[in-house]
Amino acid sequence: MTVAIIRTIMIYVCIVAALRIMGKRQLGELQPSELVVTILVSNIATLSIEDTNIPLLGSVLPIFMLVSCEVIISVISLKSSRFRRLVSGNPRILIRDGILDQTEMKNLRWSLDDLMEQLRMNGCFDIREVNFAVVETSGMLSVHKKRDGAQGRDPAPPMNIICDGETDRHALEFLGLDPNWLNAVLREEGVKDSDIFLMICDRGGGYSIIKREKQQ
Amino acid sequence: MKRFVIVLIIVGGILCVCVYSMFMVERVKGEMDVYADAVFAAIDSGSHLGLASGVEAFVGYWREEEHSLVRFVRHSQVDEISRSMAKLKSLARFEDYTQLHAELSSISWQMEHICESEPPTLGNIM
Repeated sequence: MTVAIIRTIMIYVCIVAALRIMGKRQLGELQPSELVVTILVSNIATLSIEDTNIPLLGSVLPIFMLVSCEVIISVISLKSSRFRRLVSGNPRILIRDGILDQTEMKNLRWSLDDLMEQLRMNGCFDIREVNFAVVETSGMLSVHKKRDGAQGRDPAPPMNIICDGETDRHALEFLGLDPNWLNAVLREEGVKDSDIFLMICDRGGGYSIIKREKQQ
Repeated sequence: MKRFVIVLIIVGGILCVCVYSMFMVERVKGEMDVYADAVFAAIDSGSHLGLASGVEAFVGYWREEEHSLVRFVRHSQVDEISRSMAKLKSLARFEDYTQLHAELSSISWQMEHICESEPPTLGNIM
């Protein structure tokens, strides 16, 4: 019994250390791979506590290996947007310009009940109030509401058109902007797309640029 | 990046522990085979003195190495070998050579099995 208690304390310390290495995230914001790691870590931890026949290293090493894999994957995801899309997926637009995309709902296997629940959790009790709704990679719904008394087409929320030096052609297309316009803007600002950390843009052509910090 | 470096060190440490555990199990198996062969030879030659000292040395060696093995191997597997080891002295003392031979073979087989389960082969992984 004493052995089980001491193992429990040791495993607890290991898990806290492992989660510190992984970094802080609210449970609802976890990416799929992070959720898998969290569930696996809890299951593996109980093995050594419940069964003293299993060596303590039989739990500790797999826990740290899982966390290490998670950190390595997150570093690779940081460097490669393709890898990031492979691991985490892409956000999906469910409501675009106030119009519900039923095909996308089917692809996501979302029922109307799921959608309405998520809208209510975002403080939106009338779907007609919604301008844009995006299902994030964590599964949560982000909602952009229409402006009160808006005339004509409500502006879409601004989008990232350059991320970490890479231009997102789909975002440009969605905003109805020309790649030539972008090139002209970059020329005017005296920067290349590789110099830009983040550039956001709205439909009206309003933009904001954050340049890459120079490594010292 | 600091976190990445820490993680690389952890992975390196884990790999070192895995290699060390494989090396240790191999070493113990090798030593046990030597002791077991000495006892088999004593049985075949009919030397009672040789048999008693051989069994004593074998059991004594296992008692020393058992504690290191349980850090890496399932206790149930190690306990199986310990159970067989506990019988050896009595079997040697009362000259039950058939059963003694069988227990020694069983111990060798179990140690072989533990050794074969350690390396990361496709069969072991699946």
